[in-house]
Amino acid sequence: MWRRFRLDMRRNHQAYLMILPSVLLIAVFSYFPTYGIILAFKKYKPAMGILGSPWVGLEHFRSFLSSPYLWRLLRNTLAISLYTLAVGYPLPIALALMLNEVGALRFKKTVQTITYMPYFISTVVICGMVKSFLGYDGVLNEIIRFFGGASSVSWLSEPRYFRTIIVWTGVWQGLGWNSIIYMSALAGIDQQLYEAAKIDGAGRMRQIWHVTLPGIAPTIIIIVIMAVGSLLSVSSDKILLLYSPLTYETGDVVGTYIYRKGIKGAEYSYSTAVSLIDTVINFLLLTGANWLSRTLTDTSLW
Amino acid sequence: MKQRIRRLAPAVLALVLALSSIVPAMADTAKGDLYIEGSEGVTLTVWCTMSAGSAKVYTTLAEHPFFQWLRERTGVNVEFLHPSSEQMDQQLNMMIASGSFPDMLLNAWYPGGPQAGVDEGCFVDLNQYLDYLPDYIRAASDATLDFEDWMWTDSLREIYKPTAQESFLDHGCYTSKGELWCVTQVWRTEYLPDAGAVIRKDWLDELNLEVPTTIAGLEEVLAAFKTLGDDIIPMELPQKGYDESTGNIAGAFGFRPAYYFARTLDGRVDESTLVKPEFREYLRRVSEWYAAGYIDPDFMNRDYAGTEALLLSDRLGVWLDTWGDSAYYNSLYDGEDENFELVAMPNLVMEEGQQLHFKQYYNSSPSNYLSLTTSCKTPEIACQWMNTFFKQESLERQLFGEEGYTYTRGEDGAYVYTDEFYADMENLRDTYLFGGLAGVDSVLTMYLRSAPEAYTEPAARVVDQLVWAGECGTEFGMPYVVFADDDWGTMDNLMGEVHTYADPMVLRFINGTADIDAEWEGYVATLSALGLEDAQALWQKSLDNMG
Repeated sequence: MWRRFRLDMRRNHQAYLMILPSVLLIAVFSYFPTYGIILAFKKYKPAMGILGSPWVGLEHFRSFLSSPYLWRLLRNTLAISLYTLAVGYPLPIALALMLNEVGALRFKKTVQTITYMPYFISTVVICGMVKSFLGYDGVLNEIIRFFGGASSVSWLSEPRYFRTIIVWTGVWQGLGWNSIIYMSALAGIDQQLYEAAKIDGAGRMRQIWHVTLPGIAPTIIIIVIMAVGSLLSVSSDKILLLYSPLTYETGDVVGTYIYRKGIKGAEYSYSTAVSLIDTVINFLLLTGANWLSRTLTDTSLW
Repeated sequence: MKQRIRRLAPAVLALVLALSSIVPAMADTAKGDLYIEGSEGVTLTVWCTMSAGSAKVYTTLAEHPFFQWLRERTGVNVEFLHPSSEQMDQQLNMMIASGSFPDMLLNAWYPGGPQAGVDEGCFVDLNQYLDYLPDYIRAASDATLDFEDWMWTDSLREIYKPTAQESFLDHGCYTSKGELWCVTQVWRTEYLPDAGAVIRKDWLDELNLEVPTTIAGLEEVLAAFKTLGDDIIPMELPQKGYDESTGNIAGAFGFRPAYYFARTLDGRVDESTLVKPEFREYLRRVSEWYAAGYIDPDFMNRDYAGTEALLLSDRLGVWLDTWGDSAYYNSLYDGEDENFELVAMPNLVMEEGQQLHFKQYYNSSPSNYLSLTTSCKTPEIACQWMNTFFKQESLERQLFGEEGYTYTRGEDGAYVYTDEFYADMENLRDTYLFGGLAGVDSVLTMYLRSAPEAYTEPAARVVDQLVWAGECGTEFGMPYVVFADDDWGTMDNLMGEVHTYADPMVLRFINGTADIDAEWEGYVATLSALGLEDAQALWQKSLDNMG
């Protein structure tokens, strides 16, 4: 096997040379720093450095895993992630498919631009808007009252609406941006397949079902697998800005809980430990999803 | 004036640079009181943030007139390093990791606390250099107030009632092992609260009501405010349902709200706010007000900016925990109501004559602290330099500026700011006075920062602060407590978990979704199971250790 490798290198040395920078980059910035994982088992004091800080074994893990809120945190994290996955993945695909069917180029480009503009608005601004619209005296309540609804609801104070608000604002923000990759995948589908389908008597919808979707299926699967690999890493910025003690029940995730515990600067060890737990679980999920996909569909990351 | 300074600054800076490169020859400047022997050729580095006003005009505090003056007088050349306030923690961590520091650090909160700072070889224990800090020691230890007698006029004395603050009398910010880890600002007057309640005076006048002083009075006022319109929100409650810095309603119920713990009247650590029966009565009352519509229904989601917007758009009657003051908002308002007028609301009581105990006080947690680091090669010179901030000549310069330009001496020797100073006060107090580092009592500086009034009246903000201070005692306040080793971490963990359960429950008690009669016992039991008493025990242990 080694001999084959050397042979291959000699024959295709330009190819290897081309990927050398990327490999080096990943080696230096992603693989090499992994020795820092030992921070999770130490009590890091900046003055003593990573190697010099004292060992504490599994103390951080025990501290985190024995929290009475552990299950709630994991449940909320998973719930928000899965909800985002369930809603946030089909919609960009649908948008891409619909745009693909549109003939007028100008209209298509306008819609594309409009849909991916929200992506560039900062989280803080979005949250300010959300708070304003969903407040007791905000726009949404005004509209409901205009149409004869009962009294106002403080939307952001109800735990049952919280995940919906978080997920859908995220979906709205990312819709256009995420559809870009599907648009490019759609462009790669052979036109002859469409013609063949039309000859066979397929209408628009059937064409989509039998030609388009299978054509971008590999892309969809890869992206979903990668999404599964970050299931436990819900970005807590938006949640921090929108939640309140009343919505801890459904909105408190690992990131916000740690933030509240008053990690007063330089608690590197503790956050490393928690991140390690997150990463390990994410990795297991990722491997599982990949295996499932390979078994069922022949498409997989590896 | 700004132009003049701007044009002058490069010239003066060039001059200073030139001087510092020919130091030996030029060292014949007036070797007055402040001159430090051995300062030739010495350069000290100081790490500190600049005030916003200074930052607009100077790139480094070395350009600030005060520090130029200081350089001339002491002979010591000082270089400044200025992190932005967001960068402070990061830069500090990097310095710690690399092991080398500037000579002095201002307001550097070492991760792990000051004890760690000394143990890990960053801060120098100044006990060994006390001989070089005589004026600082005098300033801090003087119980007679002779030290600063020269700066107070009689009228100012009447307003601010200077008294020596207990916690500064042993001149120190000490670690639990007794190391003196910094030189700090010394306070000489009763603490004036920085936050409190404001109320719409014009609405009160309209309704023929007085500013309330009791809880019952407040309830009456809120009911009356509600009749003023549909859009009106009579009162804004702090986001958590209670406020730890003002406590101005809670006090009437007989407790001081605290995230951690407060003290009892006889000095022990009191049980947590969250389980006190007084707190329960407070919650009960507030929930009745919430049900009656006297409180903003969205209070838990309304942040500071949102509340300010409510106030300035004529919708809010009482704001309990503002950090601004009535004069500030009165001047900020530009809505349609010509009668818009806010005044400060005093701390409420249950009945007239009730004694309140929840006021903050200077508890020797240091403010504006300057630490000497182990990287300093000339600690004696550095200590003497730090000491100059407390010499009278230097204090005159910091507080009043230059005689003839920013101040003159009146009859009886009083210091009087000139008209020229008042005309450009906004600019000059940052770019000409104070310099910004550790000094003696800054009530005067606080006073200056808020108003151009003559020296005999309290500044507008101070008027409010005096109302907020009232006659409240400080018995419930917690002194500065240093925890041993991991005790703080354990305690903080416990309190984090306690609050994660308690904060939602408190809000639910207030908005009525949890029944305060039926569910209180269960709530208290859960908090106990989460370790609330253990946290209290740790506080008691650490408080006892402080002696």
